[in-house]
Amino acid sequence: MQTSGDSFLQIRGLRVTYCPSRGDDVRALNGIRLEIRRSEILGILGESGCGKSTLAHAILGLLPPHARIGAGEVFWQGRDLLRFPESELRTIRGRKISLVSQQPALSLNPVMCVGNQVGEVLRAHVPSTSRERKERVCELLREVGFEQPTTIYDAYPHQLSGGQRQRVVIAQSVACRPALLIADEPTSKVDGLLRSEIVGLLSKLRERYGTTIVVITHDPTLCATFADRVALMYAGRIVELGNSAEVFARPLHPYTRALVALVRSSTIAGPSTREHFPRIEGESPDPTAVSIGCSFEPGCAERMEVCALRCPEDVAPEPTRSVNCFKYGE
Amino acid sequence: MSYLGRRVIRAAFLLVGVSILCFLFTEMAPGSFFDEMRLNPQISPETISSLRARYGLDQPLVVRYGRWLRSALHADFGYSIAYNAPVAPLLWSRAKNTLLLATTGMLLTWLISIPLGVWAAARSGRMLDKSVRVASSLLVSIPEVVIAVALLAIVVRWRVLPVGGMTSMDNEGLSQWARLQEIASRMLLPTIILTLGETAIIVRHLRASVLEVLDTPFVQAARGLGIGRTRLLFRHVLPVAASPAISLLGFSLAGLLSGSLLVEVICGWPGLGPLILDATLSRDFYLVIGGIMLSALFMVGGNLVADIMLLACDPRIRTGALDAR
Amino acid sequence: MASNIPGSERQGHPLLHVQKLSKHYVRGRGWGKSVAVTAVCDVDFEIRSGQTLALVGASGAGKSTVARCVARLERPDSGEIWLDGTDIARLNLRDLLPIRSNTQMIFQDTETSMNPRFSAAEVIEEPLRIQGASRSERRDIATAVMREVGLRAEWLKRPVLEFSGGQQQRLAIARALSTRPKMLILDEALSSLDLSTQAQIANLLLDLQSAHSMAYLLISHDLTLVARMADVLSVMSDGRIVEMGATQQVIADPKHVQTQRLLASARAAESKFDLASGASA
Repeated sequence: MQTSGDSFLQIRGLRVTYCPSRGDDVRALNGIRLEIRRSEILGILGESGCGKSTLAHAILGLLPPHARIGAGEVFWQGRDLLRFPESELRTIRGRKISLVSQQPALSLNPVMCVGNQVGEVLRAHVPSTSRERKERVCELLREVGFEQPTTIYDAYPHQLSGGQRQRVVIAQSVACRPALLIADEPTSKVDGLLRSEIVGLLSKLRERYGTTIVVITHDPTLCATFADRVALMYAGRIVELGNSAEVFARPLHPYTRALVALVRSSTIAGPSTREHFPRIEGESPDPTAVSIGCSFEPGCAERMEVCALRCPEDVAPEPTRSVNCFKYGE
Repeated sequence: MSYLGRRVIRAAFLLVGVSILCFLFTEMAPGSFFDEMRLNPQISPETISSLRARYGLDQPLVVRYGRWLRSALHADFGYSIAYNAPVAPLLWSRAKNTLLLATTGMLLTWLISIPLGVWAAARSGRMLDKSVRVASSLLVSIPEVVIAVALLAIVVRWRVLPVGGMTSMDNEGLSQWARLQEIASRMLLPTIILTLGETAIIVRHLRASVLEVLDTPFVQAARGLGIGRTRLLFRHVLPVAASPAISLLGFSLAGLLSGSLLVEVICGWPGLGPLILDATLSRDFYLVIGGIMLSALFMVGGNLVADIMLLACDPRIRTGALDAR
Repeated sequence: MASNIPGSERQGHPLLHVQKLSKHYVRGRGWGKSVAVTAVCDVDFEIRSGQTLALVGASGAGKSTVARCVARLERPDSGEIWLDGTDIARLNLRDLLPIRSNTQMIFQDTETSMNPRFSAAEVIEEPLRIQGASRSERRDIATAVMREVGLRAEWLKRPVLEFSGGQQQRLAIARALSTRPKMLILDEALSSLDLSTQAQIANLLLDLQSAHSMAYLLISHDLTLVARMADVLSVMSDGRIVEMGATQQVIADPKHVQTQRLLASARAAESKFDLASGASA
């Protein structure tokens, strides 16, 4: 899988902490360094709580009010997105960079018909007449796979199935042909048949329009089959980054290795009924605890003494890959 | 049976129930119209009993109710003893004035409350929101009587507006436009009093509702798609936040009609209020019943309007999605 | 059918017997005629105690509707649901109350199936409160089930929103276990969890099932999960059951085209991973 393209978005040293009024501060992102290339499909893979959604929201300035950006920059077209005023961010959201959030069922307005909801995005960014918008919306609905766009136009979200709602949300996010589409768990709540449709849809977008796609997911198979590159996140840090084929064929970081082992053992044929799953040892890290050393160290099968004392730096054992682990250098 | 059909049938049953209770309570209240006459030595008891017979007041309650119900179905609501005229036209001429006052009051209330409530919620915690909350708290806690009398005193003292009645004494000679102006100037004070009281209540509810909706995922998603702030508030948030507020509309309308009694009496506006008050005090039987039934009709009507509006605004009710079994 | 299910010696008497279950939804307008939409039609199946039956199928096939009818969150339009000898399909809510503790349901989305501001204790004790248990009883049971699902008893006081997604699902399981149900209905209960958490919770469910001999009605679109957890596999399409049999058999030899499609796409995903990643190191 070739990756094309020059650098499109650069994230450097991003730290985000949530400071709720009650309870402890939660360190969501602990120094993220990432480069997104034009027209690539990048997978951000990690379990829940590792900070992947936070990363997506931080890029677009959609963090909740109690989130603090401790440090870092997000460079896009030469400027730092984190310093943009809200009014300018509004012109970017939906138009140049789009976010498809989780839970499409809840992302749609219950009292507005879905056609109008897609139309609203157009209305916000593209001067057009109401008829032009309606036509464009029907085009979009057809593109995302609806065979009867005019019927769907007038439907309300509660009249559609989960998969249909997901497609409407995707239609909304690509309405203005954004250059970057961030899809947050696009396939986590859908069955296999629909999953391949959604994946096909996103691939088509990349092929036809050169859209850069970032897929946030906890499904390694999705990354392996769909993404060009994959970044693995654990406890707010990127622990491994590289071409997805290579990363999954020869995983370097112990977390990646455990994950790959788990996936390979999850097959349909093979296990007998009532056979237990193999596990990744250890509970998810407590995000309110400050760890001095590597956050994966407690559950790591290959830990060394130094792992509990200091945080590892990113190293590049091969030119196209980077790992955050002491095993590959200091 | 469709949604509305069921509501209308329920409303009809409600009205019948109210009428029965009306009869019972009016009958139970001590005294009758002719008590004063009885005290007058110049009127003989025979005259009184013949008067009573004429108005059918000597019949047992059940019979009276039966006859009333039958005539009510023919839009005949009995006879007023005091005014010596049929109840229905009497009520209607006054009801028009009350409706005028109430609908104007309601329109003004919502015209002010909607933007105020929405913006207060959008700027929650800031100056606008704080002043809205303080003002509405004050208005809600001060009894309407006090507000009405206070404003009345100010208006009279400084001769800002004419007070009393709907038109001046010699208004026959005036032009159409001048007559309208007159009515408007006399309507201003009672309308303001009504509006102040209602706005205070509605704004608080609307603000709370909008605040809740602002937190929902779909509003965040819309924000994430770059929808502008004003459009987001009024086109996306308000229709959803309005649903609970629309139920309030039904109460609000009904309440304005029956609650304007106080304001009408204080400001001298010739509406239903003073009429029913006098009728009750003098035990003018059928006028009282007619007045209360009209009030009940307004209440039921107000709620039906709210139901229709809810149906129009919330597609989930329209398509039966909320019918859980 | 039960006799040739593997492990049937572990399983007991039939606990749930669903016969000709049908349900349709009415889509209406405020003024005018309503239209009926069939969600489930003539569904028949049986689950024994200690056994797991999985319902799979495309979204919209009617699996959730069946689950909701069995849990009596909805009233079926026709058919019978025999739970431990009583037909619960037609019972009114009052008669249903004593029977409710026999069946508990675990939903996909913990955000909407639990009040996030409740403490863990309040969430777990709620079914007990409904059934009328005393305060000390409730506390004892809550502590016991917390431990059973692998959470610390000290966390009972924490509000639900302070738990992670996987922990919240454990709470949901604890809540379901508190009334010692004979059957658990798992409606995509593991779908929104990430892989490692899914594995952990699936193992937990397997352990609990053997410890308490509970029957499971498992609804899932994830065939790898179903392959490990279910004894009987039932494929639904358009409101009907199109194929049903012992899981391993159906997987090895699917007869209906819908089953074949589901298996094919799941296998394609599997082999894609291997293909995409080459041979492991």
